[in-house]
Order: sequence, then structure tokens, then C-alpha cells
Amino acid sequence: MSATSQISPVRGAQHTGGTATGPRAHGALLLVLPALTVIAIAFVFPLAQSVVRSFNDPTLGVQNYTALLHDGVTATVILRTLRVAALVTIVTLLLAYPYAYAMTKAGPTGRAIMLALTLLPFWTSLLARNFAWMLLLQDGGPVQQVSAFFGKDLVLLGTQTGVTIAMSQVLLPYMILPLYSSMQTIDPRLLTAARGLGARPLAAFLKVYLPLSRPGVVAGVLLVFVLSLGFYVTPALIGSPQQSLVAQLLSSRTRELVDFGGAGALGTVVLVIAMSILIVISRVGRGASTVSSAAAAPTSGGRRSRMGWGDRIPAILVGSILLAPALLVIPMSFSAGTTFQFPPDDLSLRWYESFFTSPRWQHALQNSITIGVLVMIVATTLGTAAAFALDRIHGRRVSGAINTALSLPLAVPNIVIAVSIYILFLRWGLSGTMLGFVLAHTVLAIPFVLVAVSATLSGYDRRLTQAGASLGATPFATFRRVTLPLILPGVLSGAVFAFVTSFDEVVVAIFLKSPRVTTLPALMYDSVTLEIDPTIGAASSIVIIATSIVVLIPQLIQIHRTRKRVAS
Amino acid sequence: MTQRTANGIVLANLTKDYGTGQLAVDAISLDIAPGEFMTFLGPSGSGKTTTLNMIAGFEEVSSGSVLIADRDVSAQPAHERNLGMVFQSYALFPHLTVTQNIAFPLVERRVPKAEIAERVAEALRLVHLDEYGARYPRELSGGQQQRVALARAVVFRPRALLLDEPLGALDRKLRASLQLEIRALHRDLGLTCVFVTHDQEEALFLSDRIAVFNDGKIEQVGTPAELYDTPETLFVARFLGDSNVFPGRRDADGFVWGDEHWAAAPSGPDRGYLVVRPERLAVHDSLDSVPSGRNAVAATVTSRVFLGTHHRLDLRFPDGSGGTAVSPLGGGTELPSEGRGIAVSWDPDSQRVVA
Amino acid sequence: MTKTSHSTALLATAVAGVVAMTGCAAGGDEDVLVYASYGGAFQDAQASAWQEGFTKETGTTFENASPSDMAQIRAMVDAGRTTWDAVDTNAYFPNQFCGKYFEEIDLSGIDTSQFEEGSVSDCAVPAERFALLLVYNSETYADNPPTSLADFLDTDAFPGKRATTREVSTGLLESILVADGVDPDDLYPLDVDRAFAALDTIRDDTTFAENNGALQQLVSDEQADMALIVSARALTVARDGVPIEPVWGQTITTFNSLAIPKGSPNLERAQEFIAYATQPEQSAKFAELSGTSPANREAQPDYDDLAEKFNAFAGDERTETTQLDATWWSKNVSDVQNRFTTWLAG
Repeated sequence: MSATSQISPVRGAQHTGGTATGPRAHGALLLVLPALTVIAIAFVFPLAQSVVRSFNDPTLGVQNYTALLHDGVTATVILRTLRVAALVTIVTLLLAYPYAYAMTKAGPTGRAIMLALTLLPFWTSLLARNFAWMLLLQDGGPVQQVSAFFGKDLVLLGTQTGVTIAMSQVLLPYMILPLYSSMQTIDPRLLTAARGLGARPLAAFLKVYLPLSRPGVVAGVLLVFVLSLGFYVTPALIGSPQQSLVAQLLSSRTRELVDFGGAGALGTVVLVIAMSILIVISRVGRGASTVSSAAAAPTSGGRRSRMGWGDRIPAILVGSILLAPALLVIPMSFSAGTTFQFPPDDLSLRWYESFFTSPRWQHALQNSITIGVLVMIVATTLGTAAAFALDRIHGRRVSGAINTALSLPLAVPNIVIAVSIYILFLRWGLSGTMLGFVLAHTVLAIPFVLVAVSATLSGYDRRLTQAGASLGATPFATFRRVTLPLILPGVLSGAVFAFVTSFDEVVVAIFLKSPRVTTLPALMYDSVTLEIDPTIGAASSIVIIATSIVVLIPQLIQIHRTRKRVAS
Repeated sequence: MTQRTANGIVLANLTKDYGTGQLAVDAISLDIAPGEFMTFLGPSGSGKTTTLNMIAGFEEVSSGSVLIADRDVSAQPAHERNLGMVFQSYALFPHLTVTQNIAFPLVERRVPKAEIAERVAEALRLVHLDEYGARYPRELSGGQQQRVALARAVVFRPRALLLDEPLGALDRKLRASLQLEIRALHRDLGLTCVFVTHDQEEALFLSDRIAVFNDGKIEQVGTPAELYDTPETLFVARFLGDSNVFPGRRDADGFVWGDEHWAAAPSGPDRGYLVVRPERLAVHDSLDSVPSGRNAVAATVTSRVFLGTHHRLDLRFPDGSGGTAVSPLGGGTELPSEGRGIAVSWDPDSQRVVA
Repeated sequence: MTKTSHSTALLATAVAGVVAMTGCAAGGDEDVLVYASYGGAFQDAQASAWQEGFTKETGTTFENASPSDMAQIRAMVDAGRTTWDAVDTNAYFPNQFCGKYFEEIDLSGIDTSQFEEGSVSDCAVPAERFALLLVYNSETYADNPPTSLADFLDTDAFPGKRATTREVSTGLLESILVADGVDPDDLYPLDVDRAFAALDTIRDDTTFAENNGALQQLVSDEQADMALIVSARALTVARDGVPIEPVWGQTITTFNSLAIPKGSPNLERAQEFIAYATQPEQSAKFAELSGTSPANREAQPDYDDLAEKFNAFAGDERTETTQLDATWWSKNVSDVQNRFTTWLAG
């Protein structure tokens, strides 16, 4: 998934008991240095450059900003973007709330399914899902056919409505996860108590449950709103330039107008807006729960009241919404025709053949895998080292600051990151190179690894390390025999996050690609915008299935292990 | 189980400075004899755990030194010190079985496999967990886990055993039974033990000697009886058992407290506190009923509580301060009811004047 | 600390590996020219007509990139990393940015008399002429087909989805102005405001495709009912069997040139290629394949029937052609393009 914004930084692991100061703390700083360096070079520096450039390209002054104010377009686009973002946030909230609530009431199997439905789209190709929406909303697509049945001719492709709908579906998981995470902590007996005190069900819900779920609501709203602000792929594919959102404006200013100063200015404006909203809503929300815990699979709650039809219906409805687009792409890939007609008239395997025999597609696939593996190795190493360092560092201020610094890529709109990296890498000759891709993707992946490993480390008892030492094991032996086996699941899940983040990354790839070096998502993007190539259908299906398997395998192993343990 | 010669531990001016302005451990000197069961007793934050951690090597020494068997180990890393450690949270490796946990130090020391199996079995027998080898820590109760931790800490014949509030997580009954096990282990193995706790009853029960910690310093070291009967400071008097405390000063004849002038031994500090244990107080109807030769003071009974083995009387003295007397069942005197004005007296020999 | 050395070793290996791979990706081969054009059948035709022969003669092979894009050229020249050796681009960019973004061409190998007066410039040699055709889907408008440019703006009489690209330099604004009623002789200087005003009236009914390839696909997919599309692309669509018809009467024409982005590592070879590609024989061959008209007046293409159907240069009886004003555009192309891009986003 290209962009996620987890807003509240993970707090460094708590440790009881004294930790050594002196050399060990210095060692800790050393551990976190590589990660900080990469973030500094490939993220902070490009952003800073962008801001600087907005003030001195082509000449020193604030012309770029005044130009933005007076061109009659920027203000319109920004307002339009804010409007769409607000709409998307409301829609996702209305859909996600009952779904998340139903999840808390479901039994273990039901919950596992609902969670899988939430997580799977989260990890399957963003591009594939948007492609599915193009199929759905186009002239002659299912939506139009159904609406024609009712007498209206609804072609939503190229409209703001279409963009809003598609974005809502794509961002739905980001609302569900924080909501669910927060709802899990609410004791359902509170509702019973309220009713025992004489409140009617609706009143009990409004007065007791809703306020208690507030941290989750705030976190979800924050996440979805800020993500919507910087969203590029969906408006670019589903929308039209006449209804540009700010990300499209930023892109055209960079790639079509080659106005790097103006792009810097617009990017800075977007950044400031995003940060302000972040701060304002955080303050209002007063301690929104950490979203990070939502990313990890929740342990089975066990508490459940029965799931009535009032819960089942939204669950099924929203579940279908989550699943549908992915399902659409797969039959589409078997179409024999050269267009994107759905349902396909004739079936054939030609696009799969095309995918596996076309040098272009295979090259792109290889690149994506190579880059993905490299990013996985680098990001996991750097991120794990950083997580260890943060765990060791005594001062809460210092570790908090470092944590925020390393998590920044999550809070900055992806399009702003992509544009500033692109402009800087052009100058450094890194644009269109594997090294450039690896650097950029590593920056995006490190926060995920950090979250995954930190979460595991926070559950790791530091005393175990001391115990190992007291039993005569050298630090390395202790790490190998005690620490590593216990944190391995966290490290591995971080590695998977890193790989998928890189493999599926679209926006930066669109900017950094060159005819020689392109990634699978970038080629997929081209094949819908540039030269229509129905191979994208086959590519999408393959990516969806492959990533699903990669993500599901750890879950299945987990289930198998739990079964084994219970049986013994 | 054969045991290598136990080692003595010496702390010389041991100091720990975290740079916060106040020293966590302030120039502590202590001599722990080989095979001795020494308890560090004190409230939270008194420095007892930090001192233990410095002995273990988990904390760096700011100044001073730790000597084990007369060798300075202050700079030695923890994993080379050959000391067994038992933690409050058990710290058993969750991904290893009980057997694997206990075998861990032996594997680390490259002991041959056959011998490992033998010694692990012996250790399990020692803590009465013979059949539990194949279980995982999460399948055991708290008490069982702590026993496994004990087994693991002694299986490699350490020079000494360090225990950091190991029973704090257990309920009362379990704690009592494990205290017995620890005492038995100490007796059988003859190991030098350093035990950290804030529970004075536990300390009194287990220890050969107790070091009372307060604010980074050791207030007093002695046997349980010494500390109880002859505390040297107010803190020790208060921390170990209950006390009635009368602040005052000496004069030529004795001790002056308010209007009262009591007999007191000539030696001791000029200004200080006169402390008397509650069980040394006898209850009288009034000061007039007090036989001669005893120190006495008037008091009002503020509450009377029945505690099973005895009654406890909470008292208020004329100056408003509070005190306690205990009255065993079977005592001849009729027990005063709440609100009664009475007098309490004691033998001057049973009092202490402390600084 | 072992953990650090472990991670450092890993990091070093990773970086080394990536650098090694990057090294492979870097180019700079003497015998390869990177040629950028508009992709699809259009570029395939150029490869066939121009590149194959050149390769046979000189051994130099080609790497084809697309789409040819002024922004890309600016970006790469500004960054000091020009990777394109020769480009097919509109005539006006090389003029406006001669010396800045484009190399001056050594015209000694070219007979400039073969080209129309004033079309050869210091930085560009004309390659093909083409028209911006108004085409419509004959099945959509079976009963009442559009007959003039003005019908493009008439959404009442001719409802349906319009389409065009976002390029201004191929005759879009001129076509709109003529459709709005401006006399072709009075077009210049262009009343850009009026053109935008006219476009505003069909703004909601028009898809502005990202590039020619996308536009071609829209028309092919029959997602557009009427389009202003360059003639070569119209021909490709027709060859695919899609039922489109051209609208004649007034047609705006222009020409494209071959140029060399500044900083190309293969300047000499690129110049040889341009000289070769613009010769009559190669020009004619490309024209036949693509449906464009050769800029070299001595080229004699032999069009097939379908190409002839979409040929705007067949004569005045078919349609009155108006050529884009090179002088005006050479001065204004980037400003107008910027303005259009901005207008579109609003």
C-alpha cells in the first residue's frame, strides 16, 4: 500500500528497572543512526529543498506563493480537495462504524473473516483496486448497466462523485482499524449497566458507547482525512483534470509545467494544511489511541454478546464493499477483447500469456521484486536496529523525538513526498535508477518496520536479557538464543510490511520511473493512462492473489500454532 | 548436590550516581560472609535493588567496588560473574520448556549432554517439580514458575545466589511455602544468598543478617534479633516492627519527654527518640497504679481491635501523638474499652534511645 | 557491538548490490541512439521507415522512448542528465528554446531547399505535416452527422462525449476559435481568452486525454463520440475497424520536427540520423505508414485508400487548411500551454 498515515507515534517501549547509562546508551544511538541518516537524506532533505526552492526558484521572493493565490485555480482546487476529503471521511465513518462494532461482537471465526476482509484490500495493489473501480464506473460498466435498468444513465467515471465513492472504498480499512482497535477496549457490560439504570438502547449508545469510542473515531477521522488530502491515484484514474484535486495539481505542476518552484510552494501549502489539521484534531481528540496497535492482528477478545441481524447486515454489506472490486478484476483478466468491457464477451488466457511473455511486463515485475527484496532487507535491518535503540534510550524526550522523526513519512501526504524526492533525485541523477527506487521506498517502509518491531519489543521482558546474562550467556549468545526467537515474529511481520509497501508503491514510482527502469505498479498505471494495455487485468489479478498469499501465510501459521498449543 | 566453596561478597564504598542530584546508592560498605543469607531490607527507592544490580553486574558502578571471593569484579560484565539471579517476574524464557530453561546455563558452559540431563533432573527434584520438564512456563502457576527459576539459577553451581523480591508477585500462602523452600535450599546448598525485599516479616524469617536500607545508605546491619531488640536509628525502629516513639532529650538523671522524666541508661545520644515496643507495655488503670521502677505515661484508648492472636490498643498520649499497645489473650488484666483513660508502663531495660 | 556490525555488513552488501545493478542500468553506449516520439503505431511506423534503414547502414541501434514530452526534456536538461538523443516534437519548442533546451543542428548534411521556406530552423528539421481532424463516431451520429468544426461546440444539436488531448500546439485552440466563428485568416494573434471561453461551454462534456495514446484508446473504445485528434491517430483507429468519419471544411494543420535535446551524449550520430530520416525516401515511407504528409516536398508517398480518406492535404475541394503560425507559436507556446494546464485544473 503506498501511503498510510499513522498519526500518533508509537511510544518507546517502557522498561522497568535500571538500564545502564554510558557506553550502552551510546551504542543505542549508534544503532539508530543508519535509519535516521536514510530518513534525513531521502526524506527530510528533499522536503526541505522543496520549501527552500519555493522561495528562491526562479528568483528569491514569495512570487510562487502569490502566483498560487492569484491564478484562480489553486484556491478552487484546494477547497474542492478539502470538500472531497470531508465527504470521504464522513462516508467512511458511517460505513466503518457499524462494521467495526459488528466485529467486536462476532465470534472468533467471524471476526477473523471480517478482519481479513479489512486487511486484505489494505495490502493488495492500490492500482488494481482503482483499476477495478474504473471498470465499475465506466460507460458500459456494471454501475451504468444497473442504473440504466432503473432508467438513469449513470457514468461516474470522470466525475467527482465517482472519485468520492472510489476513495471511500479504498480508504475504508483505515477507518475500520482504528475504530475496531478502540472499540475492543470498551466493556460491553457498560451498556448493560446503562440500560439497568433506565436508559433506552439508543440513549445508552449515544451517551455511553459513542463517547467511549471517541479515541478510535478521532484516530480514524484523522487518518482518512489527511490521506484524502494527498491522494493521487484515485483522482488521477477515476477523476478528470477538470475536477482536479490538489495532488493532480501538484503532479501537473511538476511534470507538465516543470515549475519546480511553484510545485515547492504548492507542496508546502499542502503540508502546512495537513499538519495543521493533524494538530487541531489531535488536540480536540485529546489522546487519540495509538493507531499502531491496529496494524497488528488483535488477540482474540473472547467477550461477545450475540450478533443480531442489526449487526450482520452492515457487516455483510460493508464486507462486500471491501471485497467487490478485487473480485471484479479477476474475471476481467480473462477477457479476450482489447478493451475494458465488463462483463467480458469472450474468455481467454491471452493477457496472462502477454504478462508472462512480454519483456516490458516481465522486466517491470523483476524490478519490483528486486527493489522489494532490497527494500525489505535494508528497511528491516535499519528499522529493527532503530527499534532496539529506542527501546534502550533512557530519556523519554529523546526517544520520543527520534520516534517522531522516523515516523514522519507516514504523516506527510504521499504526493508531496513523491514530488520533492523526484525533483531532488533528478538533480542527483537518481531518478529512473534502481538505487533511487530503493532509497525512496526504504524511507516509506522504515516507519512500518519500526511500528511492527517496537510493538513486539514493548511486549518483550527486558529481564529476560538480564536473566540470560546472569546465566552466563554473552550478549550475542543472549540475543541469539533469547531475544531473537522472541522478537522474530515482529521482525518478520515488519519485513513483510516493508516488502509489500515497496512492491505496491505507486505514486513515487510514477515519478521516478524511466523507460529503462520501471516497476510493476508504474507500468500498470501507464497501461491505463498511456497505452491501454489489458495485460493490466492479468497483472492485477496476479498481484492481488500473490500479496494475499504472502499476507495470509503468517496468519495461517499462527492459527496452526494456536491449534497445536491448545491440543497439547 | 555437591557445592563448590561458597564465596563471600564484599561491598566497599559502593556508590551509584544517576546524575539526578541525589545518589541512589551512597558509599555502602558491607561484608557478606561465605554461605550467609543476607537480606537487603528497605522501602522502595532505598537503593537495595540498585545495589543488588551492581553486584550482579546489571548496573555500572559509579565509584567503589564489589569484591567476590576477594576479587574485584566491578568492571566485569554480568555474564562472567557466575552469580545466580532470581527475578520477581521469574524471567523464564517463554519459548523454551522447563528442561530447556534449566539447561540453558549448562548449554552455555558446554557441559556434555548426558551430564546436562542428569543435573537438570537433579535440579527439578530439588524444587519438587520432577514431572514438569516438558512443560512450557505459561502452563505453570506462579509458584511453580518461581521454583523453576530457582532451579535454573542454582543448577550451574554459582558462587552466590541473588534474589530480587522473588516472592512479591505471589499470594500470601504461596509466599509462605516458598519462603520455606528458599530456606531449605539455602541450608542444603550452603550458598551465599543476597535477598532483596521490602517485607520485614519475610526478612526476619529468612535471614542470617539483615541490612536495612534507607535513602541509599545502610542504616544498620545485624541479626534479626539485634535489629528488633536494639535498633540504632529511628528508621530501623520504625521499619522493623511497631514502635512507640517519644522524642525528647537527655539530662543528668534520665530522659525528658514533655513533663515526664524517665529513667534511662546513661549512654546514648543527647537528643533523640525513646522507643518502646508495644508488646513491652503493661496496661494500668492510672499512673498511680504503676509499680515503682517502671517508666510510665498516661494515655487514652482511641480504638481497640481484635486480631485473632491478640488485641491491639491504639493510644493517644497527652501531647497528642499516637502509640500502640498489644494485649495477649489470657492476660490477667481487664481490657480497657475505647475512650478510657489509662496508663501504660514499661521496664526501662526494654526501651532504646535512638538518634 | 555485534548487532551494529551485523547490520552494517548487511547494509554495505545491499548498497553494493544495488550500485552494481544501477551500474548495469546506466547507458552511454556509443552505438545506441535513444529516440523519443509519441509511441504506439505512430512510433512503430517511424521505427520501420527511419530506424531500420539507418541501423542497416550504420550499425547504430535504437532505443525507443515515449511519449516525447517537453517537460521531460526540460527536466532532464536542467538536471544535466540528458538521456534522449533525438526527439520528434512540435516545431515550436525547439524554436523557443533553441540553444537552451535544444542543440543547434549542423545542417550541412541536409538539403534545406527540399523544405518549405522558413520551416527549417537552427534547432529543428521538419519531419511530418499533419492535421488536427474532427472525427465522429458514425454509429452514434448515423442520422445526423456533424458537418463542420462548429458542430464540435454544439452540444444541443449534437449531444455526446467529446474528446481531445491537452496539447495546445497541434491546433486545438485554432480549431475551437474557428468553431466559434473566427475567420481563419484573422486567427493571429490568437484570442486565447475567447478560445478558453468557448472551451468552457463544452468543458463538462469533454474528456481531455493525457496524451495521444490515451485519446486514441478513448475513440477506439467508443468512449468518445466526437474527437479532435491528430490525423495519424485517426487513421490507426480507422484501420482497427472502428466506425469513425472525418469532418472537412476547415482543417488546422501543423508540422512536427526532429530535434536534439541539449546535452545529448550522441550529438554527431543523432545529427546523422536526422539527416537520414528527413530525406525524401524515408519521409515518404513514414507518410504512407502513418497517414501524415511528408514535410520534405520531394517525397512522394503512395497512400492506400484509408490513408487517403483521412488525408487533409488532398486539396482545397476537400478542405481548406490553415497552417499554425510558427512565429507566433515559437514565442508563446510554453506560456499558452501553462495557461491551458492551469485552466484545465480549475
